[in-house]
Amino acid sequence: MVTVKNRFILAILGIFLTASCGKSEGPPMRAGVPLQEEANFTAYTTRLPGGDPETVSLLVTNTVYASTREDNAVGAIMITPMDEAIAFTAMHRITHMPVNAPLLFLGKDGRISDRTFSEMKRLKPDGVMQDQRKQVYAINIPESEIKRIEDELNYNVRTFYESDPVKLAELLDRWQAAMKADHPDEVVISAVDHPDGIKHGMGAMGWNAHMGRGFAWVYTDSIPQATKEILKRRYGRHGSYVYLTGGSDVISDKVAKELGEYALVRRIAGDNVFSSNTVNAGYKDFGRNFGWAWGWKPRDFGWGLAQAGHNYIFSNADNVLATIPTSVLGHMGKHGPILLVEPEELPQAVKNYLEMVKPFPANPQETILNFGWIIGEITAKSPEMCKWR
Amino acid sequence: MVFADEIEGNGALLENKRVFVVGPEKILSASGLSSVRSFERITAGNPADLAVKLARYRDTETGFGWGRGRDRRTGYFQYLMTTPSEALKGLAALPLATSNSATVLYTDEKGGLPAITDAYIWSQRADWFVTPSEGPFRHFWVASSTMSYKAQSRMDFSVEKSEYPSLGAVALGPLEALIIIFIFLGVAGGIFIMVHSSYTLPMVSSPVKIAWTMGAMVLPILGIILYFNAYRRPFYQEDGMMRWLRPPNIQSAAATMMGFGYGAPLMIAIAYLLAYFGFPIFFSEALNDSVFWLGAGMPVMMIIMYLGAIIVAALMVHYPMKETMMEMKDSMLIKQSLRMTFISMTLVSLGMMTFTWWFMMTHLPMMPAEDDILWFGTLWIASFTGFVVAWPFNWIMIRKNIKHGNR
Repeated sequence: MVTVKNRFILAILGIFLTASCGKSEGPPMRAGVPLQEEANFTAYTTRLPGGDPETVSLLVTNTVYASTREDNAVGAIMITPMDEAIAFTAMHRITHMPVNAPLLFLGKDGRISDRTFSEMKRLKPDGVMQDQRKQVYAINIPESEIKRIEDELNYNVRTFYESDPVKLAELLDRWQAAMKADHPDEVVISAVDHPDGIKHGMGAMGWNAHMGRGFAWVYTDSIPQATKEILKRRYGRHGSYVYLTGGSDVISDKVAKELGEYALVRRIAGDNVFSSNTVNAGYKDFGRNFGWAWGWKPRDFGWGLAQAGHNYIFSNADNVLATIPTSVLGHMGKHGPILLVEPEELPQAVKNYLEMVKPFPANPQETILNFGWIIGEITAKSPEMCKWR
Repeated sequence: MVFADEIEGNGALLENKRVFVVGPEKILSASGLSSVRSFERITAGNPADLAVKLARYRDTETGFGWGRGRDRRTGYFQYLMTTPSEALKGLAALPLATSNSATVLYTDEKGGLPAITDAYIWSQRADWFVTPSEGPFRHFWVASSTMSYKAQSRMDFSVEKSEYPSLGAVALGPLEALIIIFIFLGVAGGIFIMVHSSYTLPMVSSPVKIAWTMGAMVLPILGIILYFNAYRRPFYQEDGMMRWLRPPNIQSAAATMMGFGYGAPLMIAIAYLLAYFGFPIFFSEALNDSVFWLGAGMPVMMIIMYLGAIIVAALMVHYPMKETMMEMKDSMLIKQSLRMTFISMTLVSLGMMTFTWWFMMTHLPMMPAEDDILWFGTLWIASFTGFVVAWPFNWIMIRKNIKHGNR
């Protein structure tokens, strides 16, 4: 009788342990991107050879999130249409912890493709504790696709419907504040109506995906009401601290001056999109924010990388939509800023920056390493990139 | 480097050199080393163990060995993973780590990670103090046709940089280690009081004993000290009930414990449920600007914790307790129970919520989740703080005869 009882207890324990182990969806082959066969590398770089935005987004999630256990799975998945400004806004505000969400794309036909859907299944989001265990953040996704996610994947979805990126930034600002019980006082500002507005702000977007600060849009020559609303919510020493991405040709001095009414204004800008992003990689703004006698909160914005020992993401400046999801590579793993490059050669600004951060042997045992992710097909990037150290 | 079968011909080369013999006796016996005057053997029971030993080994005099131990948190190390049967393939891949040579580690033949290797890789997880973008990082090259994806992903997860206090999920950070001791002392203290009081204090009512037991669980060490201070005293009977002669500060501690013993664990339980199911948040335009916090997760959680604890403790604990002690109308009893619970919970919450907010929202770089030790630790220390804050207020109430602390 005792033996039977013991066996029964052991069986129950066995079932409990087996059930509590969970199961993963296995390697990311199901996403239709056989990464292990296609990725190529040098001693200091690894290439993710996707061409189109969807493939890149899948390669990135394949690479960053093994999803073999709860702790290396995503917190949530973000999905947007293939719209640069919408995806850029979402990446700015949603990616960072506690959400921990990579970006996947809705197909151009308004449906989630099979391979993206498979990847969503593989990723097994853990759910965001600070937001009702939401597992998917869907921005402007058709209701039929939301229903598909809910029914077939059984994921808990939060939807945002706002086609105007300026207003979407305001909506996400409110949502983030509710989740974190705070408005981050540092706010990145990019120009929504300038053809290179997003490119100038790509690196700063990477910082936000990594550190979760604020984001708002302006027009080259004016400030939209939604952005004024965002800035009014900040109560730092100077209201807020805004970082304009691009020079006065991208965001005019007039706008910068007007923004001064709401914030302390800084520019992260170079002569072109390449140098704006190298400036961003080296940029650091820290100092006063607000404080009392017993507690204070400094402002602290920017990568500030001016020495060896870091990771970089190299992507084609013209491939804007495919570059946006790669900022997850700067949010997890080795982390690091995005540097935009040309297909055939390294822009001078990038060369100069890399010269500055070139490693040197510190002692026989500890050479400081740099590392680089290269995004795009080999035909889209010069072999020179692969020789980079 | 000299191979075992080349020792004899290289006697001159080894003359007056410090010699390190790598491998066990059965591969390179002492007799085969007769021409070497003195040597140090680095060996282990199997290749995986030896690889880890070599990774950690360092002879400071000669500079031989990687010295990549647990404390080397500043190094940009590279590792090369291979399977023992494919070791040559692994060696051929070593040039990949051109500038910062790779230490070779072994998978097992089935494609998994041997326990020793797994533990070593975990010890190489780098932590960050300011932002994860700070260095260093580790890099692994895999030259194995059998290593499983699961093993590769575990390795990748093991070296994912994490914040210093907790060292991330699964790993045990320094603050977490202290917290485990703190919680253990609390739970042990609670169990001790439960057993001790059931044998030695039959005259004390069960709700009071439960309050002491649960209160001590979240009040490590102090709970036990107060318990003995409260009951190792002369006692007397009043209206058929046992009373203890206590100085005012111990009376106020005992009075605090009656509310705290139920309130603090209840608040932790409610907080756990909210964290498990996710915090409710609200962010409509109506909750914009200066009132946005009314819809924010943490304040909402705290309000629910506070109100939930008041309602449950008042109706499930204080009301039945008062019913057995006082002859009053039900409505009066409920009113009194709610009033007393409201006062107790407000005082405890004052310390508990303030600490939780400060610790989770401003002190820790990442808010812990409900399955992190740090989450429990925060709530445990917050409860302790809540007691310490409520204690002097209860002293005032004892003085004003609003509360009693001699039961």
